[in-house]
Amino acid sequence: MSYGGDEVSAIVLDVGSCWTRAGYAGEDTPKAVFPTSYGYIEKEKEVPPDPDTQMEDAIPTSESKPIKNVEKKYIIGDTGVAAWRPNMEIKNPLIDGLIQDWDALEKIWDYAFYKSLQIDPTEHPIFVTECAWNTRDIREKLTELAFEKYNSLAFYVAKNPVLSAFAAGRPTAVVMDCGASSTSCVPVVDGYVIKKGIYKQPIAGDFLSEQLLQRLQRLDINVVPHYMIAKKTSVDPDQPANVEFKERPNTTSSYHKYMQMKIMQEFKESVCQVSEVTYNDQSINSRPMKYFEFPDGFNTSISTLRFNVPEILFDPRFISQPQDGNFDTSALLGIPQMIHQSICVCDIDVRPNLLNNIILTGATTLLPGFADRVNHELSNMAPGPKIKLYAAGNTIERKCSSWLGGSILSSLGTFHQLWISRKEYDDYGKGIVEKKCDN
Amino acid sequence: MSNKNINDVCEILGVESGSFERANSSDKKLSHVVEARNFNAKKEKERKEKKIEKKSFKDTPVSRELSALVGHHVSVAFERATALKAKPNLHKTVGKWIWTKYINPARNDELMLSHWVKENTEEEAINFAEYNKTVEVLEYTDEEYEKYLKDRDWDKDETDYLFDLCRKYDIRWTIIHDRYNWKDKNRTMEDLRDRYYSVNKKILQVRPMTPGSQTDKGQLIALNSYDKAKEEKRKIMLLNLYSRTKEQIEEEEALQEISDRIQANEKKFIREREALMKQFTVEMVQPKRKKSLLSGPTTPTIEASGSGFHNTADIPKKNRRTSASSVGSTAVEAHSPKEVHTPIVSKKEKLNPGVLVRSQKIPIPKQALLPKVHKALQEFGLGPRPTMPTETVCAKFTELQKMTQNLLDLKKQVDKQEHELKIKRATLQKVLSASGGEKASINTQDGASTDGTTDTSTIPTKRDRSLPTTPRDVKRARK
Repeated sequence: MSYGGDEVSAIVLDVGSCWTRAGYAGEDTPKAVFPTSYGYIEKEKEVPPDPDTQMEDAIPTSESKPIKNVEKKYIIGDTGVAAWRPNMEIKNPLIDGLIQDWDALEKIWDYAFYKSLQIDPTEHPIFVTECAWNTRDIREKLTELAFEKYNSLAFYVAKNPVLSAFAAGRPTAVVMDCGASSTSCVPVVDGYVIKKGIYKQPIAGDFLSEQLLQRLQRLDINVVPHYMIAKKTSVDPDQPANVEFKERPNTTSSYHKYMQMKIMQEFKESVCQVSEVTYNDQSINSRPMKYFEFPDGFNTSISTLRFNVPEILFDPRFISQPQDGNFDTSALLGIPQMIHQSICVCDIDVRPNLLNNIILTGATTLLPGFADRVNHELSNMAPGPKIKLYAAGNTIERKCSSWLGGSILSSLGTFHQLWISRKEYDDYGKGIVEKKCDN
Repeated sequence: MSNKNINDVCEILGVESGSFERANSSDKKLSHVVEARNFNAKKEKERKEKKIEKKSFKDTPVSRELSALVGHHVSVAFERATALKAKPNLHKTVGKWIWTKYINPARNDELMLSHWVKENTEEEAINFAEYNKTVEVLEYTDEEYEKYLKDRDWDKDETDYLFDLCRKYDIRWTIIHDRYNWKDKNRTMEDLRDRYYSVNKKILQVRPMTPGSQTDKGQLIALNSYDKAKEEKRKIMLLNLYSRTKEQIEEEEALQEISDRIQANEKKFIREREALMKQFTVEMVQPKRKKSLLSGPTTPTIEASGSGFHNTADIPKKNRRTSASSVGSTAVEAHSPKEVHTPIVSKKEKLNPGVLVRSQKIPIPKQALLPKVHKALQEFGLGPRPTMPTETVCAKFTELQKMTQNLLDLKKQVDKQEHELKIKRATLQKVLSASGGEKASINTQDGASTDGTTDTSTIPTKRDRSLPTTPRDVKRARK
């Protein structure tokens, strides 16, 4: 077989809810990976009086206050966001996978192009990923941004599940993406998303981290992030931490939370596990405990908690109710149910093919036992047809599968006819994205 | 130093051994010198030859000795070992790749993308535009729609919409059905397909065939016919299959297993019955054959051999013996164990575990015949078992044993027949003596019967005569 690739040095940009990946098309890993969450410091800056302009004169008359311009200083990148700064707020520009904060998104693009990759976006076609339930409005805005602000050579936007399926080498698949902010199940047939089969819910990695934090606090374990610690000495298990704190005035709560979540992420990665078969208290109690040392030196063994919390993904009844409000779990589904329902929406003729190509992607699926559990539950739900799961063994592939799919797609020789060119944008306007990037 | 050793040394040193001997044997100094000079000249010559022949071999320090040992046929491995790795060509420049702009022919705008192209390559190696394939979807005019395509359920706008979707998604029905969104109408995939194919079919029927198209019109129409009811039924059945519960599937599997077992059993049963039937038929046929053999020249074998019998007197003794032996062998062949034991032959040879002597494998004759067979064998000077049981001997011995058995069998039959004949003759005599009037007619009957008797009586006698010949043959074969 001949080589079907034709690299045109496209830039693939995948702004996920937790991480942003950027890199050249045709490569197997993104060149730049940094958190999508950004930090900002608001500075109230008085505009220097400018006697030359009429506007400046006019406004103060209408308002009694002296004009104040709030200037946001954006801080992007892993080191930037994680470093402690007084008054720095941390925010995520995406809510439920949809872009809400366009200024921040621009900064992220800026950071990706100019800082990380150090390229000139006018010289490259830009390939952007989006979630399957993205709105028309957002797609058009993205197109506008690419052509108006960055003046890119060409542009394309493709859906995450389609790209994940391509990354796994399958045109038809059910893509179960369990990332940071949301868990979604999307059937993909011949490279097209079946819109009616999209199932999603906001129960994913971040939710698990929050639950963990809550439960640890109930156990009187105070999660102290690294930035607060000046000095610590090692203590015996279950002994109070021996720690000296740093003076950190004006720390914002969002920064504190962000740092706590980072620890929870580490906690999930090191001790959490999914029960391989349907949850059973007895068998879980008999599982070995695992030690975890918190940043302040306090260390303890974690027993059922490490199974209980990830179990939320499979049985939402495990969600511990917050003290203040009522969290409605009735509408939530476990992951196997989501996959099954998502498949059942599709036509019976494609169901066997979908069941045979179930792709697990997203960093939360890296929890040990996750794939086994999904397989176990699904084979109980659909005992007849053959079920086959595909979960990339490579961690990076699992974490960046949509970027990888984008990299593959946009380096194909046959793909280049699909780009939205500058001319097309000028001729048809931003609405062309609906017509050309329909997948 | 023995002569041989000298030869070896000479060979190793690359000197002709003969000359060395000569040098040794001659006492004269002069001849010594001459000979020595001769060596040197020879050596030089040889060296030169070698140099030309195998230059690479010369380079190694062991070359001379080795070449003497190996001779001039140097194995490939040696040559390879001496060859050096090719030096990288540092002066040659790497082919240049140029970042060039190009226009994708599949696009209809002038988007200039750039890619790397190797210097001096004229055209694109792969033209990706050729993969830009689209499915052809029929188009209809307003007129055609008004005339033929009107439908109660579908208006033209919706049909247009459907056809646009078909064009857009290359008739991928799953996707068309997913994206179909027309005035809150809830169409099933079957509805959409039915409409699409019925429109297609109608138009194909109405329109004249485009000249030059290869496919037959009827074929095209057949391709575009869609049986909605059947399709719906199929999907319902598929759904039923899909929504089986675990218990149902297990039950089904169990049933399948049982049916498999039954089928396997039935096969086994049929096989066994066939084998049994074969055995039966053989046993049924066996006595018949014996009878037919004995009942005279009705069977072709006997006819053929019968002619041989009658001529025996004319044939010289040697010939007669061979003909007799051939008769014997044919007779034996008719009863050959192969035929008799057909069903048994098909069975696998029973093997006793452990080590056994080959002579043990020789089948033991029937208990009733055992002493007789042994006696017959003794007559030929053989024991109950071969003294040297090699494979061929054993085979021959078994054959012999079987032949003697058959002979004994036949003899028994003959004796029986003769006995019967005697009885019958006696009764005939009685009858004849009782009534003298019908003598003539009886005479003819008697003649016929005597004919039979001569046949039956001759055969065993022939057999008896042939008896010694067969073992002799065997003996000859053994030798």
